[in-house]
Amino acid sequence: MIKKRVNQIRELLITEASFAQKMLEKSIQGLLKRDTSLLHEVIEKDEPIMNSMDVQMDKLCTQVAALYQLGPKELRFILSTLKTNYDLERIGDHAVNIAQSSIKVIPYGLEELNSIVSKISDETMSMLDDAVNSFVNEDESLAYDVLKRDDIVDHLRDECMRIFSEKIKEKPEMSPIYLELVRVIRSLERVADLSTNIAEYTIFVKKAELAKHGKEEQL
Amino acid sequence: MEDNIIVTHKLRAYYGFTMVLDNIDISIPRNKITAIIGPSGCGKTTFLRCLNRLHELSEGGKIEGRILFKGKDLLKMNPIAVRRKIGMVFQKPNPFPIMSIYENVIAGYKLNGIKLDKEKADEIVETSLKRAGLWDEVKDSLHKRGTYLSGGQQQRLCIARALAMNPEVILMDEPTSALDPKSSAHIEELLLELKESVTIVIVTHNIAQAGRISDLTAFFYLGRLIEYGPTERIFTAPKNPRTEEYLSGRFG
Amino acid sequence: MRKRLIFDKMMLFLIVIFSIVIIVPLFLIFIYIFKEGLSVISWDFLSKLPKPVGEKGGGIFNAIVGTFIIVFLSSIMAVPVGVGTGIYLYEKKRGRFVDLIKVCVDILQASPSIILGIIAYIWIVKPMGRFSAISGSVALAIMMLPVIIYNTEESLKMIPYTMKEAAFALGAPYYKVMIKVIIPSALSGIVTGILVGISRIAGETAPLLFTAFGNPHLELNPFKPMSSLPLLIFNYALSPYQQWIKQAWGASLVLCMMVFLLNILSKTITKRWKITS
Repeated sequence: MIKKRVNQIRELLITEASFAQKMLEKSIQGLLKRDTSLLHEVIEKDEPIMNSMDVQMDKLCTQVAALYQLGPKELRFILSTLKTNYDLERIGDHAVNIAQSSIKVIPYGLEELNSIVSKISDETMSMLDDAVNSFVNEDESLAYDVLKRDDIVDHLRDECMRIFSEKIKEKPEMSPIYLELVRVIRSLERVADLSTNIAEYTIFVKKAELAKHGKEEQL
Repeated sequence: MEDNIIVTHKLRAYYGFTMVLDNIDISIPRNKITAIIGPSGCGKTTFLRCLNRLHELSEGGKIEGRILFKGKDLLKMNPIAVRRKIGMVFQKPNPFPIMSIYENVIAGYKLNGIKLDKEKADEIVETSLKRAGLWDEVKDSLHKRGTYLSGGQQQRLCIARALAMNPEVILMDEPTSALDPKSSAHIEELLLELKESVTIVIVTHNIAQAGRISDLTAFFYLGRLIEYGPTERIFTAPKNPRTEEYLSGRFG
Repeated sequence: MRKRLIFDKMMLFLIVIFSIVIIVPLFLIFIYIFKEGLSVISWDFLSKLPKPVGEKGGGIFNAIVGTFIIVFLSSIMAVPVGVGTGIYLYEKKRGRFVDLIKVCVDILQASPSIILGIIAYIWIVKPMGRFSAISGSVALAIMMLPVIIYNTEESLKMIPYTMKEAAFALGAPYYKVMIKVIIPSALSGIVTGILVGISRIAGETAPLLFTAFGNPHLELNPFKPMSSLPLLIFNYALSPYQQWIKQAWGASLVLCMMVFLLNILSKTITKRWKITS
């Protein structure tokens, strides 16, 4: 009975996560390859789909919690799934933000920045991928690994900021464009943060430890 | 250091030669509700009946080990003295049918040959029925037979009867399993109030009930104490996989 | 399906027939006794002593009194022993002694009443040197025992174990639990057993033949021979005197009524006092 429902939830989560990842990928690709059709797809088509999945997940989790007496681990799983669901929806939002900023940036052809943007986006997307996998497979060692990589993204962000500040100094009239790029980088950094959240939930479900905010606390 | 009113050391219980409780070491703290949960036949009721030495009255019932009540081994005390300090409420409400409500409440005194003058008796009856949340419903019919009450009221009468002796601990053996949900909820609220003045140890096969009202939960399985700790921890992060399975409804 | 319905109706019919076959004779007997005896019944009959043969009138007062005294003495002897044994059997449940008692009780129950009368004769009448009411009571008491013992044991067994547990859990010592809770709860059953026992022996004749023997006068001393309704009926019915035979019918009616009333009494008590778990 409950196993069926839990599997339903698990599958929906995988679908949702893949979709969020795809949205993010499309936005970045759209920026790097200057393909505005991809960006419009993310904004107009993908976002509504993401939102409906979010609502569906809420419903499923609420039902299970109301109807079944959840054992300890099942309870932690449902609570964490709800949180992951929320985070995935935020990731979708960030993908949309990236798309919107990218549309403004593309006409100015700043290809030289592609490499730094790819670096940070590659790292972020791999963190997200690993975090979601760790949650779905209950792989806590992978989750711990993800937590460590948050620092890498932070460093990359700082480097980006440094480069952009120099560019703005060179050409002050381009500052609105670079500000849009800053938005993109910020969004990517937020996605990396949300990925670490998901990794923390994995640890919570598996070991009942709250590895929140960098500290470990036993339930 | 927690104030533990009952501490058992290597408590073993037998029916004839069959061991039904295997070296139970548990500390029950004062003025809290401790729930004993576990599948049928795990020994939880036997454990309860050791605490007031009712187990010895069963065919072939034997207890070994130590049960310290406020530091003194109650297995070495007079069982009658033990039962006046540790009361019990049973699964099926069992008020004495030959006695009125009034007489039922003070039955403990009558059965022990303790004489009470009318004033004292009236006082005890009123206090006990109030503590059991039954006074308002029966105060005008105290001299009617106890068996005319509803199931939930009868159970509260039994609780009043146990409370009248002013015990320090009340043992409850699945007290709401024979009652409808509303009466059960009533009694659960009552227990939450009572724990301020009395330590409660409750055996229940209703996991949700243990979650709702208990401060500590002990999980028994096949005569052993598998896990024991604060209810919140046991219900969110138990250490033993058996406990996890039982709480997830996978057996029992 | 039809076959089953027919079979069903047939069975019902048979049951009714058999019931009638049993009830009707009993009914007829009672009507006959009533008819024959009613004409003799009068206040004189019930309150006067027998007159010598030949003289008119006379009553059965001494027999009525005798019945009461003998039955009363039997009860005093049988009730404590019977109830006590019943309690013992209830408590011990098994064991060699318990089995022995049960066998003895079974034997007693199956013994012909005249044998018990002879036993009382050997035990009491002979040593005492004369017939007495008390020897009759002893015989009747022995007859009452099995009924009282079984009823007591069964009534006690019907009390749910949870009641005992509740009493123990309040810290009561064993004897108090029995005296204040178990026995009072089982009281209606125990009393019924006693009344059933009494109604059984009230009409017994054989045990009294060589013990109480009978007495034409009013006798209140239990150590002397005493009259009793069954004895009087026995003697009068076998006599050649028409008057006595008539009086025997009257006495029979009186005895029937007494037993009948006792039965009603015991049923009322059972209904009123019955403890339902």
